[in-house]
Amino acid sequence: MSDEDLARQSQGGDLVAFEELVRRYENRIYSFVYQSCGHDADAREVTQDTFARAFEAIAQFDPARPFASWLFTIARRKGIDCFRARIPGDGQAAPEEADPDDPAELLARREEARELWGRARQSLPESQFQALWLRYAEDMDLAQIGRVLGKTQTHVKVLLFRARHKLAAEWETAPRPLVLRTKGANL
Amino acid sequence: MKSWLAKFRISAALDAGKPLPESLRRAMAADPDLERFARRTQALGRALRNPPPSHPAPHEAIMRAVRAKAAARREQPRRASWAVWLAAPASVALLAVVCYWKVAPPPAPADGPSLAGAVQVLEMGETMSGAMPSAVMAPLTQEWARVDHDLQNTTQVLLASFP
Repeated sequence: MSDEDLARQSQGGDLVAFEELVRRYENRIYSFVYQSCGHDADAREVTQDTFARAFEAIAQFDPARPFASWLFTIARRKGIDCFRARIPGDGQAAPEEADPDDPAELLARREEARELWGRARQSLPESQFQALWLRYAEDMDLAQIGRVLGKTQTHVKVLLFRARHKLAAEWETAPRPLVLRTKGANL
Repeated sequence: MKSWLAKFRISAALDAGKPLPESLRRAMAADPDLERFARRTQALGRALRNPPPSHPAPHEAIMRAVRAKAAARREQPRRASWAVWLAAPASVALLAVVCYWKVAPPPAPADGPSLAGAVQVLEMGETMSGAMPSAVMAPLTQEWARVDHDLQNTTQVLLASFP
């Protein structure tokens, strides 16, 4: 069943349907908030407030639109104070358990990504970081990102362009430069 | 500036998931910096698609908050109906008072300050103790004496306040 169908059921007061939505989105919302503000306790509180608010306002959700962008919009609004008070680079990723079945390439890529996101959190302004997160971690398109951030698609394109530009420049001047795997890039 | 614009167009085309236009491909072929930018943007994108893992979200706490909201929502109509039931008679009573105020003729103004009512009340205080049976009055003698005293003082004040 799609998110939008579950949301429609939730509009009729179905708490079980809403709990399914919570299961689908709780880790994604928590990660978005946690990566943006870098405080576990604050991120938990904002995540909780986000779903409570979503349940309260579910009647206002238009099932013709994607549920994800509606929910992330609430999360962003709920977390505004937390995002502004963020301490750059304070966010600690949870320790990753090594998977013996993972090929070395995958592990290297994960490590690379973790360092990249850490650097992004340190150096990018809030809106650029969130645009980048929604684009890559959430795989949202430009229209959805625009809806969440309350910006036009052109503005989102500029945010992403600047974010990547700055990130690449930061990385090249870093003490331990990232070896981005550019081989096989299909242009 | 031209290079910046070309890079922005490459970036936007990659974000939109569209193939690069032919003009951009030609520009990239002619400019190694643009070619490097496009490859680096794609590589960054691939690397960023693996977000770092984070702690699991607090499912139970979330659901507690949601259930609290659901309970509040169930409670709300009940409270609203009580409010309606209280508000309706209050509004009717207020309307009746306003109508009476508008329709009823105003009391005729007195020709001047009249002490008739006040004097009647004051005299009643004086005669009351004499009119009551002594069995009733006996335990209250002192209190009545104080009340009489107060009434007399009040009389003097009222009489003094009129010209």
